[in-house]
Amino acid sequence: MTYLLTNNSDVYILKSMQIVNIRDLARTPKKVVEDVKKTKQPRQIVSQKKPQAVIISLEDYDKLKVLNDQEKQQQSIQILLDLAKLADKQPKTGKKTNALKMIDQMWQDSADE
Amino acid sequence: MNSQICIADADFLISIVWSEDVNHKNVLNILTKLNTDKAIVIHPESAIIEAATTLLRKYGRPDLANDLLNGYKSVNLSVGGVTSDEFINSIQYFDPNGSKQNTPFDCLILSIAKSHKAEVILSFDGWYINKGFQTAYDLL
Repeated sequence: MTYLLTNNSDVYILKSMQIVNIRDLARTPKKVVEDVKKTKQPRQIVSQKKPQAVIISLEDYDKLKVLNDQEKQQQSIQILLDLAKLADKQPKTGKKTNALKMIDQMWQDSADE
Repeated sequence: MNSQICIADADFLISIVWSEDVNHKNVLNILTKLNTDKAIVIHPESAIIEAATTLLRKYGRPDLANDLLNGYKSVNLSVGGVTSDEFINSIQYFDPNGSKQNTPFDCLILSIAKSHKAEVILSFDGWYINKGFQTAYDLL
């Protein structure tokens, strides 16, 4: 089984996945973990013929985490761009404002109340 | 190559959602550039709350405050929570005899920027330049 995870131009191939029954994991957990560490290949844990979890090396985990973080960062900028485009569709008042001054005035108004 | 780390401040967030802000077009250009460069933008909770509060109270636009808040909620973004160290360190930057315009919120942004080793604070507040940071002006 080969997994492809993509993040824009980044492509990361998770190597072929071997299957380990949960009973074997319970019997020889240290061996399974050592195998993952040594071969850098993930193990899919199966119980009652269904996949339940995956054990991956720390190296693979770090790569996946970086990809996930990058994905979230890209989303965070995109959501701001979407908000800006949404703002452009709002009805205009014809009066320009400065956000910094508005923040200062808000705190000043609060102090005056 | 390491991505550029930027910290978003409240005025920048308001300039995004308020199309008649003097810097609205500037922030659009900056965001497009940051998106292309795959920069890392950290959104401190304090900046989001200050921006939403200003939109609500000063602009009288609870709908825009709601849009901003829900923008973060909708894609389950990782918002930068303020740590105890960041808060404690921010206190040293507050000058009770200084300008009233530079509030503890700004000090917190400064502390968060230092904690993340950010190069840029996404704001049009010149106070950050004096503290050694690039601001939104440098990305224009």
